[in-house]
Amino acid sequence: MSGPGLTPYLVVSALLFGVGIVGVLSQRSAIMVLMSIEILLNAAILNLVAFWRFVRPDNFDAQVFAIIAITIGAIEMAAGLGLMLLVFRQRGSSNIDQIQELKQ
Amino acid sequence: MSGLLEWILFLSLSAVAVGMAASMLLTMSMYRAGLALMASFLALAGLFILLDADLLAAIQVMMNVGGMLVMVLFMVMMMMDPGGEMMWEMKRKMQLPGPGALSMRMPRGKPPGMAPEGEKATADHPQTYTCPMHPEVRQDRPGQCPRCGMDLIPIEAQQPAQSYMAEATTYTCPMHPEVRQQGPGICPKCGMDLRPLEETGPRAPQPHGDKGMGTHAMDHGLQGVAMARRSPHWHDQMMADMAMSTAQLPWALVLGAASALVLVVLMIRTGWPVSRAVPAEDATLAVGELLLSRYMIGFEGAAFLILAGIVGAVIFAKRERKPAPRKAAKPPAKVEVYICPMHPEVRRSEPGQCPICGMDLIPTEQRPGSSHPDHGGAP
Repeated sequence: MSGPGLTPYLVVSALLFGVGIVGVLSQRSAIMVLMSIEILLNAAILNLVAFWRFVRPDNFDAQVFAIIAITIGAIEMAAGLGLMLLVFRQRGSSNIDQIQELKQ
Repeated sequence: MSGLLEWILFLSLSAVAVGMAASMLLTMSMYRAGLALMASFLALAGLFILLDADLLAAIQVMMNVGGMLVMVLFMVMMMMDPGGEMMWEMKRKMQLPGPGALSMRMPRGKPPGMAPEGEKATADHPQTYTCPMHPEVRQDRPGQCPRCGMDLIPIEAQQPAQSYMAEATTYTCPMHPEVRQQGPGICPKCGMDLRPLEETGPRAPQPHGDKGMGTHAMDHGLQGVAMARRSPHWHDQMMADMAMSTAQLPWALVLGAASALVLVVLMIRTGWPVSRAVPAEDATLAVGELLLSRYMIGFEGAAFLILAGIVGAVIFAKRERKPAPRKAAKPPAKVEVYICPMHPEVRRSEPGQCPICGMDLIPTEQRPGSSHPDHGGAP
C-alpha cells in the first residue's frame, strides 16, 4: 500500500481554504480576519508543496517560492498587527465594521 | 515509511490542521483562537514533512508559529478581554444558549422595539446612555463608547426591571438571619453581602462558604434572564455587541462551503501530470543553496519589510500617546465609587459584589453630585 498521493493533499488544502474564507467574511475583529488570511495563505502553500512533491520533485524553485510565501505571510502579520495597534489606540476598538473612515 | 503509517499520519495531521482552523473561528476567546491557529500551523508543518519538504517544515514552525506567539502576546496586551472570561461569565449568568466557550452569534431577525417607557425622553426625565462595559461612560444621546466602541444603551430601558427586581425581594444576611431589608445591601453586623430571602431560607448558611458559585449564581442567572426578558431590546443589543461574527455568518458559511466544494471537485477531476520521481536525499541542501545563491535578495527584502512594519507601528504608536483632552476637563473633586460592570445602577462607596449578578464591583471616579437621581441608590 502506498501513501497518500497528490489528490488527498489538494482536498485538505481546499478544506483549509474554505475555513479561511468563512473566517475572512464573517469575523468582526480585524485580528481574527488577519488570522483567517493566514489560513488562506497556508492552504495555498500546502498546494504549492504538494504539487512540487508529486509533479516536479526535481525542481526546487517551488520550495523557494513557498519559503518566500511564508515570509510574506509573516510580513502581512507584522504590518497588519502594526496597523491594528494604531487603530486600536486611536479608536479603542479593532472591529472592522466600526472603522468606516481612514482618518478620525 | 510504510504506506499505512503514512496514511494514518496524513489523516490525523490534516484533521488537526482543518479542525483547529475551524475551532479558531468558533471560540470566543482571542487568546484561544491564536493558540488554535498555532496548532493548525504545526499540523501543516507535519504535512510538509510527509511531503519530504523538511526545510519548509522548519521554516513554517519558526516563522509562522513564532509569529503567532507574537500575535497572541499583542492580543493579551491590547484586547479588553483576550481570554474571553468576562463574556463567558456573562453567558453563564444570563443562561444564554450554547456551550460556554463557543462564541456568540448575532441575534437573528429584526431587533425588537424599545420599551415604550425607555423610548420617550421627557424634559424632566432625560434619557441617559451608557456603555454595557464601561458604566462610567454617560451621555445624553446615543452613540458609541469612546473606550471600547460598543454601542451605548439607554439606562432607562433597563431601569424598571432593575428596580422591580431589587424592591420585590427581601434580602437577608447568610450569617445573621435576623437582618432583613428590602433590596440588596450589606449586613450591618458582619459586612457580608445580603442575599435574597428565598435562597437563604430553607438551606440557610451555605456550608462550604462557596462564594456565589452554586445556587447563588444560578438564582442571579435567573434574575438576569428575567431582566433580559423584560427588555428584549436591551437583550438584543447585548447579544449583538458580544457576538464575534457579523450577522452575515450564514452567507459566509455558504460561500466558504461552496468554494471548498468547487475546489475539491476541480482538483479531483483534473488529471494532474503526476510523476513517479522521488525527491533526492539532499533536497534540503539543494533548496538552501538555491535560496542563498539566487533568492537571497527577495528574502532580505522581506525581512526588511517585517522590520519596517514593526518599527513603523512603534513610532506611530508613540506619537499617539498624547494626553487626551477630555481628561483635562475633569473637575478635581472626585469620589471613588464602585459600580457593577453589568448593572450601572448599582453604586457603592466601597468594593464588594453586585447584589444582582454577583460580579465584583469595579472602581470608577464620579463627582458627588452628578449621579442620576434615579439610580444613585447606594443603601
